[in-house]
Amino acid sequence: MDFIICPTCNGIGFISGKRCRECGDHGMYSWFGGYLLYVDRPRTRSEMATYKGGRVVEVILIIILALFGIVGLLSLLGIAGIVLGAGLIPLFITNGFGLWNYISVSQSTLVLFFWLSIIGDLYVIYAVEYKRDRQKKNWPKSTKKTAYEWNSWEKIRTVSKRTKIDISDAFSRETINIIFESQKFAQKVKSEYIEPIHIFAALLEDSDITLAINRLGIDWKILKNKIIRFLAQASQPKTTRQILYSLEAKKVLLRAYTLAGTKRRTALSPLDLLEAITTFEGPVKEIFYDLEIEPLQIENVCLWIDVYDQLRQERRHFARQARFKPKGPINRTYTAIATPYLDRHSHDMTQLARGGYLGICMDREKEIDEIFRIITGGSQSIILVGQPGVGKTTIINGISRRMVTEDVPEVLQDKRLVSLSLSSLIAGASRPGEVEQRLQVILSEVIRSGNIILVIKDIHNMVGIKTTEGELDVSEILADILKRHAVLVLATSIPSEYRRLIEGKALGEAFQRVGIEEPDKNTTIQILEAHTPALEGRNQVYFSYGALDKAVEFSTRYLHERFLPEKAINLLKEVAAGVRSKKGKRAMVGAEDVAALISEKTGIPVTKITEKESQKLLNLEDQIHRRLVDQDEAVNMVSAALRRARTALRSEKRPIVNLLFLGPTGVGKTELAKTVAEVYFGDENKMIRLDMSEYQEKASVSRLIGTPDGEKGGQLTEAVRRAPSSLLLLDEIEKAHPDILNIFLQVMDEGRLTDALGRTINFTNIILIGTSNAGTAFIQSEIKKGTPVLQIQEALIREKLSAYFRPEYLNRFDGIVVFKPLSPEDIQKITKLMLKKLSKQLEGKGIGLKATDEAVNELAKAGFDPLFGARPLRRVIQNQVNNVLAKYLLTGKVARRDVVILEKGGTIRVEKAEQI
Amino acid sequence: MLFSNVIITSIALNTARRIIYFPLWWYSIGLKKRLSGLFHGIRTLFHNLGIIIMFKYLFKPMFGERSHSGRIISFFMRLLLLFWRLFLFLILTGVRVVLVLLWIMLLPFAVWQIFSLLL
Repeated sequence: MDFIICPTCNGIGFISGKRCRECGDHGMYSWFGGYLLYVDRPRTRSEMATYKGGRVVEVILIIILALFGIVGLLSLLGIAGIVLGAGLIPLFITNGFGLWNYISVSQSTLVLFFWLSIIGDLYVIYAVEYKRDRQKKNWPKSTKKTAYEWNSWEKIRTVSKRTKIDISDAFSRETINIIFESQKFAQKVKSEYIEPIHIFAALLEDSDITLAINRLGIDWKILKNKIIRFLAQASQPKTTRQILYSLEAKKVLLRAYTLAGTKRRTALSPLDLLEAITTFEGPVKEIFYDLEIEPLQIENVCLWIDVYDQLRQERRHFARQARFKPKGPINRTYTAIATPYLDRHSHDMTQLARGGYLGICMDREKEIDEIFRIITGGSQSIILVGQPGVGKTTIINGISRRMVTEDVPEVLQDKRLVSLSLSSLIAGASRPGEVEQRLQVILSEVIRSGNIILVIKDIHNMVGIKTTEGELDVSEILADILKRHAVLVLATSIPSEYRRLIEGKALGEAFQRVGIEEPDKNTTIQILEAHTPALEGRNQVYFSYGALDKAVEFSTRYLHERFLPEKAINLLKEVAAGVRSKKGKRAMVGAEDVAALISEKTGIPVTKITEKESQKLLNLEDQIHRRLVDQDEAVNMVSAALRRARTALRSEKRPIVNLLFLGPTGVGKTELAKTVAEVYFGDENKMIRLDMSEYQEKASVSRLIGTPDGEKGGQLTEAVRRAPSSLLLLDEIEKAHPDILNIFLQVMDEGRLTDALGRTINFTNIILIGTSNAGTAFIQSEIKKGTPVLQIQEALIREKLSAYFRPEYLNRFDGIVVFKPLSPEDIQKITKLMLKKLSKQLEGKGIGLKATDEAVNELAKAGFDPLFGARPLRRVIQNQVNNVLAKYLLTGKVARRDVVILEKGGTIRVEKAEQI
Repeated sequence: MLFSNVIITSIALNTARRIIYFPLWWYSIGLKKRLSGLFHGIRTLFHNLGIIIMFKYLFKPMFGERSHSGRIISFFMRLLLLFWRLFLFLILTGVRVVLVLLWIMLLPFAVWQIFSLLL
């Protein structure tokens, strides 16, 4: 938006308290719809008093006149009573004027009142209409840009008065009050000008703005404190009587006017002011930025409040127009015939829409227009192809509603939209050829009636339905009739089934395809806004804007099986019901409620990070070390990746992190993976584990991604589809066939994989960890030599790993971690950890476990094997401790409250508890 | 005191201006709006009653009855319907015209009546 500023007064309109001669106190202009906009100086106190007083007088006058109108009516009734009482009806019929003249003389007071009231009534009509007209006069008829919208001041001077609009005439009553209040704010802080912050402070008193702020989930106290701080900063020592708009305030007002004009409003409302104020840099925008509110959010919240009005208007218009739509199956021209057979196997969508049973359709004008264009162009049948939940049915509902109000092309006017029920068509058909015959009868009824447009939802289900071998199936019968353009059908299907069963077949040729795409985030939010009135009414709760925003964001990120807007709507329904039962009626559904539900559904922590959790995240390394000994590099790398993921600083188009763990067996690679699953997903079992040594053949690809006939689902794809947020552990990855590794290239790079059925599986919430023993001998020998781990890692990547993995594959990993072979000290620590685990198991039986240092040392020594890491240790503990304890338990040597002590030489002593 | 006087005078002047403008508005903008409303109303009524469609379909059999007798009955039935709708159209249009005439005449007539009663 361009502003043309007076070069003499710099846009203020006044120079040292006097009107600028150059611009005549207008100061600044802006073009809109071929008109030059300016804003007059703010009303002075006396002008405001005159305005308010004038309004009061006007209202009082209208009330008096309306009451007088009642007196007039009573006078008329009085006159009628006299006429009836005196039996003058025949005279009234034969000589009405004569009688009236007679009554005018005999009942002159009553007649006088009557005529005076008539004049009063006419004045009321004038006053109401005049006011409405004046409001309209302040707006250009068109919002389009015209060719002569010059931007140079020289040319602006030549523009006539008629093409200028003073936007302050277009202020609504509320806006006038807000401007007056903002003037008071400016006066209070001794400011010479009304600044946007003063307008904003005054705006907060308005009811619509209160609603918007509440919807945004802003804490009023914090907001007010911030405003007060800014007002205190802006306060100046100078005091002045005449307060003017600052340059920024003028810009805000002009912008608000264009916003209101674009929305075809008849008055500049406070909501327009709020929206405009946040589009300019300045304190208000900064306040919102600080409160994590973006201008787009404010725009959408304003739209939300507008949507309520729009829906109300739409409902009124619909009810008015629906009266003209015939109730039954017969059209207005009576050419249609009764269709009893069709009626049995279908439901009339136009009648459902007429009765108000079908919901409204928001933001789908583009698709509906395309459908109308195809129908008008060649009367061809249409198939809407889109993923489940993207709104195919809603679009058809929208068309039904428009057919009720006849807001459709001529081909569709005075027609019925009838949805064929496939289940009813098939139900109970036992004789050969019965289904085919039913369809034939239905289609012939549709053709003969001529006022029916058939809707067939999920038309792919029709393919293959036949009761006689060797004959055509029902879809082919339909295709045959469609090709003759005898019937108009509006069908729906999903992309995979459309490709498989319809495209390229006879049925596909009969249809023109219209793709229905998933709406983008902003459109979905607007669709949700249109849905909230019903949801709020049903659940008696209120949605904040954050709830809507997060519902869209989280459902996009974490719920991959379904599509927008349906999945977001369903999520909101669930949250609303949950909040109602937890917090009760009139509670506000916030972003955190949505996040909590998503966390509950997926196990991924998405709620705001609490103080406790941030401490936990900062001390992640310690937490992991409680389960894992040493391997500091690996633990640090994993912890950093998890912190990145939790604070949402990771790429959302790749897995959370891709890691390759290298090292000899038994050093803790799998243990670390399990720990990660527990820390991030809350459960160590949230792990998909694939032993890649089973995928050494090229043919085993089908085991991973499934077979094209859909008989066997892929072990990888199905597992990830079922649990999209988990840890994917690929054991011994170097043993897999190179083609299989190629599949993981795409997973690691793009975070998705297409299975054999063509479904895209999302891997963006996966932590991918590959383990490998490749280069073990090298690692061990280098560690013995005392080479630093980083150096070993580098040498491994550069030289040793190239024999197993291609460089581009290694490149995809966010980190390649070398696990060191375990030292005897490490094994000792691990022994303690393992005994701790055992002690926990015994705790459940009421038995205590203690181990002397000597016993621990002996166990560690027996369990240490430089080749196999900590694995033999488990066996040693099992043989020397677990087995003996099992025997003790069975023979009753150990009972509840006893303490078992492991001592030197492998002896196990039982300290018996005192008898009670 | 002076301040409130100024305001009261200003309010009184504004109100007087508005009252004086009443008859001017009534016969200029008001009348123009009523006339355009009349034409628009007639057009909508014409469309909503489907008179053109009834003309178009005059010879088209009703309810898919394509037999000779069916066609004849259909024609007369449609003719009857057409007359009925035309009748409705005329009546409703007449009401609208009367309302516009009232708009034109009511104000001077009421003033004349008041004056004749007062004098």
